[in-house]
Amino acid sequence: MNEKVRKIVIAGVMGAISVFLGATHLGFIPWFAGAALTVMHVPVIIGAVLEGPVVGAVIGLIFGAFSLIQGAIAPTGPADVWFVNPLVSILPRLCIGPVAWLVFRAGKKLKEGQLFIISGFIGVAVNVFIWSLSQKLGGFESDAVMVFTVGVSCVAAVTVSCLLLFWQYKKSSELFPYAVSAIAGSMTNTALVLSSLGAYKFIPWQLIGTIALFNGLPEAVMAAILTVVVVATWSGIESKRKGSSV
Amino acid sequence: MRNHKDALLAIEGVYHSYLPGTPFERRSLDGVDLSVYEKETVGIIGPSGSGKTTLLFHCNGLLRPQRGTVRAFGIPIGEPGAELRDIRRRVGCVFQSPEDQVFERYVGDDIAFGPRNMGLAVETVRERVRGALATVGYPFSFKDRLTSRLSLGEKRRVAIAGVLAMDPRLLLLDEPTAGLDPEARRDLFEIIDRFKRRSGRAVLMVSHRMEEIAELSDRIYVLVRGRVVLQGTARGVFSRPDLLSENGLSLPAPAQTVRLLQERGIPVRSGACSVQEAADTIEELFRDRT
Amino acid sequence: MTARSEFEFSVKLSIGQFVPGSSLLHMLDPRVKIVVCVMLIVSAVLVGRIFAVTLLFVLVVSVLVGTGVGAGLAFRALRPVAPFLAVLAVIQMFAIPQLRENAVIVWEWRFLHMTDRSIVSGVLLIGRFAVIVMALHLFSVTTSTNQLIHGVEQLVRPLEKIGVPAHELAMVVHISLRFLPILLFETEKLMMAQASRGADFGKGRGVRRLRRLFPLFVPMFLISLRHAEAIAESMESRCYTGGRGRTSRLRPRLKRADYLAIGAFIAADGAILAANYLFSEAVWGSRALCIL
Repeated sequence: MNEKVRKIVIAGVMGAISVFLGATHLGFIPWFAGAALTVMHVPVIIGAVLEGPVVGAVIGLIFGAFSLIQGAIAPTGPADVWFVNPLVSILPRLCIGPVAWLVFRAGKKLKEGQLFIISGFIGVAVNVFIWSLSQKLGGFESDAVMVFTVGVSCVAAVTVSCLLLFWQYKKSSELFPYAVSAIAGSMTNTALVLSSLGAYKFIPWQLIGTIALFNGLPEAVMAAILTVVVVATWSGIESKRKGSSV
Repeated sequence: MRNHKDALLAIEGVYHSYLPGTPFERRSLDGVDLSVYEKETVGIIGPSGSGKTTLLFHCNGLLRPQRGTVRAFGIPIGEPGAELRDIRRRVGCVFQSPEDQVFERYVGDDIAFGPRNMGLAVETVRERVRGALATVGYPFSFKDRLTSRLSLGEKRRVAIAGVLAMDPRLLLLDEPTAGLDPEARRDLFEIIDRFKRRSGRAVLMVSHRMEEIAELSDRIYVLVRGRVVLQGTARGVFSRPDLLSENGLSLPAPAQTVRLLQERGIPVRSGACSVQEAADTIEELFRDRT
Repeated sequence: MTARSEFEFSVKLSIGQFVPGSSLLHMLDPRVKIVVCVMLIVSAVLVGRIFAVTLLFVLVVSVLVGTGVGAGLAFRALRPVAPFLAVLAVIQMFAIPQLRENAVIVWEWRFLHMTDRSIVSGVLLIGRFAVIVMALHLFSVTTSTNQLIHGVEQLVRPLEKIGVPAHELAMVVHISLRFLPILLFETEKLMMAQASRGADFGKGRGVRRLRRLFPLFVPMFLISLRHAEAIAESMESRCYTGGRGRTSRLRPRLKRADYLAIGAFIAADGAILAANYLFSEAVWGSRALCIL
């Protein structure tokens, strides 16, 4: 099949899923304390690992543009309104696909052990990034509680990604890179959206570490599982067990 | 006439319209009565857009009647608070092109989705999967096949097994043979047969293929623009070609053959629904001659 | 009450519907409207002064009134956003600690405070969002999706020379919009089929809800990928090979009215932006003026 035509169509269809999940609110999973986890970035990741960085960026653009329009025309909460700013809604989403694809490419070349370590580093790096940014701009060096929260989020990021990868490793090594790239893509989204919200002073920096921990992490895990299951079923990749669980 | 209370499914005067209260309102069911008894196969035929699928969705509570009553196993579905999950367990519904809904990586996991939702124990789930696979004609080892490697016909059988694994007593089928080749269609008839062999089971199926409805059904309802215009045995329904063609429906091929012979002045007895019956009635002619 | 409500999404998808009409804005070339809309959004983000954002707001309203669309429509667009905007503005005005540094404190009570900087930032927030919401609305109400796609494609076409696939991008958006109803239909069907197999999509939160939604999300992706293959195949069998050498049935030309409209708009918008930067603290050195 013609590569280009397939890329166009997959970008369009995945973009539609993202919009659909957002518009129907199916993609918002009520979490604790009124917050919600979202899965609208998963089509971006899946598009990127299946069809490359450009497709990923285009789907990200659709996702971002839709959250901008939704924030302006039919917001469902104060948080939606923040996304009317294109630097919050569009720019971070453009980066999800390319990052996921880069990590995926790297993941395919490396051995599992190496990936294991690298994924840990991604977790740390993203969180250190948020942490240092919040320190610089928020000026809460003295605030021991905040340092603690952000520290916990780093540790949790590493642990969860390692656990997830271990689980995946047991299932099938072929699926390894997909899981890692989904985590990377999802964390890109969390980190960039949160830092742009922080830069615009919509959320005090003090809160950002907490949000990254309580929303960003479960979102990353969710994105990884969903991506792996969809890709595995779509391309018929066998699990290590080579059979159903019945 | 059987006692109405014995019916597994009793639908009375059901109305339904899509998008009520908007300019796009469209009535799809206009006072339908229908009942299904134990051990029966009931067929619904009708032109497209006649409300067949909508009617089917009322049978296990996917749609609640806007007017009228639907009772499944004596439980009224229309009332708020009705235990719909319980009804859906007993009334299994196979949708149009059900293969689209197969979503697990392995056949076994997909079939186990329903039983697991019911909260059954691991062992029981395995037995359900084994039983369902056997009913659709596959060995238990088929559970480890990848769903992405199945053909359309195989996938459809797996999807049907997924519904059968819930162990329903009434099976709803919406256009079960659409898109299948003749051989796969035969296999499907056998599946329905195997399902019905167990005690107290009934089947309600929707199709626009006259031949299969004629061959499988004990009773037939003809649905046109949301109304039942004709009902009765296959023989009875297909002896009214005028009423059928008036509503854009044709006769099954065997009945049509007999009718064409009659029109050419050959005194064949009418009422044949299956190929076998048609052959028999034509043979009668020759036997009389000799 | 619809009996179908449990599985019905159609109602929730009518955002910013195109309303056919014959106002001046309907007649303008979609490219002009896209440029105007994007410029309004960008200037709203750039502008940092109360008077400038007020002028932008006046500009949008006068565009609406002047072209016969009517300002009522635009204010109706603001209504759903208004309560959230109010909440945000209150937070911005009273509760953001950063806005307290180097600021003249007007009022203070415990952790609440109102400073010159917080007032400016609260008012700016409302103004910016109002302008962006109205700009998007005036665009979406007067432009059909077909016009939008053609407009975007033509606008980005010059970029093809440096390798931006303009036509392909427009095609992606087109497929997205056309695929939405299919997705809607398929999802309704999926939910009903799974409800038949004992799935429960009721309330619930966190992990429990996730486990309920997963069996819905996965086939949603799989069905879409399958559809995508079919669409790609049917496009290819109709000899679609991308934008090169493709002609268009509709070839809108810019009319004089289009040039006039875009010229007038750029002048007005440019003046506001220029004023925003000229009347800054550095030029006037006065703090009082700076608040405005």
